[in-house]
Amino acid sequence: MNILVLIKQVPQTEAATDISPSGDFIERSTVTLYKMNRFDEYALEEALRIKESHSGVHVDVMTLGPDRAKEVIRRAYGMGADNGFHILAADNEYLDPSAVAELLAREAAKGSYDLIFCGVMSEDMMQSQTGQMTAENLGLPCVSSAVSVSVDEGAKSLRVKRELEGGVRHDITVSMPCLLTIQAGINTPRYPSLSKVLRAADKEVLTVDGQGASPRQVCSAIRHPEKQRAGVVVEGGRTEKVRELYRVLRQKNILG
Amino acid sequence: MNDKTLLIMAELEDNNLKPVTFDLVAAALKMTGGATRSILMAVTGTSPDAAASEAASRTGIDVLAVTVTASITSDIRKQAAAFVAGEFAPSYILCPHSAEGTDYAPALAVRLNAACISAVSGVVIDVDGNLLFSRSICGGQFNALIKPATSPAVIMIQPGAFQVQAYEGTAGAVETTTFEAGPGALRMNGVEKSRETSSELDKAKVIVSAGRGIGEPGNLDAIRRFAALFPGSAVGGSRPLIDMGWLEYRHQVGITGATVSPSVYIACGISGSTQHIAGMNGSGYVIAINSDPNAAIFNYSDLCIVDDIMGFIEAFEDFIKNGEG
Ligand SMILES: Cc1cc2nc3c(=O)[nH]c(=O)nc-3n(C[C@H](O)[C@H](O)[C@H](O)COP(=O)(O)OP(=O)(O)OC[C@H]3O[C@@H](n4cnc5c(N)ncnc54)[C@H](O)[C@@H]3O)c2cc1C
Repeated sequence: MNILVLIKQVPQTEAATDISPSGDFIERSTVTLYKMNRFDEYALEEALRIKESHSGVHVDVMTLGPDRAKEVIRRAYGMGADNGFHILAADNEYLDPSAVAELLAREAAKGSYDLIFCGVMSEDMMQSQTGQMTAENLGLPCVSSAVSVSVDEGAKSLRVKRELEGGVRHDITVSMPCLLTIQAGINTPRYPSLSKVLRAADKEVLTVDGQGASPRQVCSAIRHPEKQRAGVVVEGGRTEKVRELYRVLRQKNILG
Repeated sequence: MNDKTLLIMAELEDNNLKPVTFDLVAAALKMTGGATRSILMAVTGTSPDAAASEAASRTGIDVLAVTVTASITSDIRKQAAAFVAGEFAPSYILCPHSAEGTDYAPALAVRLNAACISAVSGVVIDVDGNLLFSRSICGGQFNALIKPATSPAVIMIQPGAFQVQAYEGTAGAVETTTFEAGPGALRMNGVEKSRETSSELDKAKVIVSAGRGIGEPGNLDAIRRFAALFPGSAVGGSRPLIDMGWLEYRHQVGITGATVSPSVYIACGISGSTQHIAGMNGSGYVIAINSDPNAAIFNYSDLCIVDDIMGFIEAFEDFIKNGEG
């Protein structure tokens, strides 16, 4: 059985980002630390657990992004992934999810995967679309927001629980090949192991050019969101902040 | 019903309208400047007629009741939506950015060669009269204004983002059609109702919620002590704390957890992503403590304290202990 996990590199924290000088995207030259999208860590972990509990399972990973995005493939090798593919895309530019999914599907179609996993959304662009669109491009059934997965190899099917609002769950059977988007909390993602990192040190990452997809939407501008409430910022040092909070809570009569 | 440029895909549960359907109507009216004529709502279900009449009378919008001849899973829903879109060739198709909507709408867009703009919380008209769609990015720190380059374009509306208005005029027209579904790839085995939820959070006057910014599970003790300073309080948390096993599910606040509305909500080290905000925005007074002055949570707060959460709590406790108040 072959599993492909789609992973994305995102900034370690959004605190370092700002609106770009041209105003039409995010400035990331100030970002020094990147990580694997948290939801994708859960997706990769789920694939690795299937690999460990069944025989003859290969887990590949694929990412789309600028050159630095290769770092998440290295991390995936450290966690136990077998082969990594990198689709080179522009940095500092809004990527249309349709175009991303078209490129991912084009590369994924070159392998023969029984299962494709990805995170339920990316922490930076928050689209929640890439997996569903990639599946549709490949003509595969898709279940989004999976919180439990069990493989029935004989029946070539999966039993999946997907999560809805308020914690309601749908229990679904889907035949393989298929794609699942994985929700956080399904497992506890492992840390890369030093031995695997060392073994993967000179392992290749195959990079292909991310050309030829046609974007269907453009980003016209980035704005700071409007305040929905009073948003009074307490000025001064910690002592002043403590006093002010105390004063407000006293006034609201909620202190014991 | 041939002059329809805007198609709304209603959301149903057991053939009843879900509230998010009216959020889609509010967004559609924003796009048309209040006119209902160019809007069509498709109400798709195994037995949708009653919901369709209700939608037509509660909104004044013309409604197409689409009876589907199979049990409905997301792949059948996608087929049915593509069928309706094919009949009317709308410029925009509005779907909810709900668990159900995110399951089928992006794939629907691929089928229609359409752009798909997700989690839309605002509509803006630019100088050239184009519609731009505002969506939250980077954990809520920014809004991106997105312009679709295709017609149709699928627009996924964030639940709760648009002001729903009651309607009292004449009802819209209702037409009916049947969709013969092809074979589906998914089989539904059953629905599990929500896991144990907390009456504690429902009853609390004050909720002190912890997010990833508290750093480590051991720091929850300080959060609990902080909460204990307020009689009738409860401890809540953002989803990652539940995912990591630091808190039990019954403490989770947000779209996939509890929706709460205490008098005072204190967010400690929570970034303020849309999924968290959806669960606490009905609170009376919101206080946020976060070390990042640009954190999105401050846009949803009455009082904003920029500080390291653990250091601040310690100082607050000292202040109370020393009786300085
Ligand atoms: C389908 C779906 C459903 C979801 N449902 C929910 C839900 O029900 N509830 C929910 O909460 N989330 C939900 N999420 C997850 C959500 O998108 C966010 O990932 C999550 O809310 C982020 O939690 P957080 O704010 O604790 O963490 P982060 O986003 O990591 O934010 C941590 C914050 O702490 C601050 N911080 C860091 N260090 C300190 C310090 N020392 N002192 C003070 N502040 C500090 C940072 O500036 C940052 O703002 C859902 C996601 C999806 C895709």
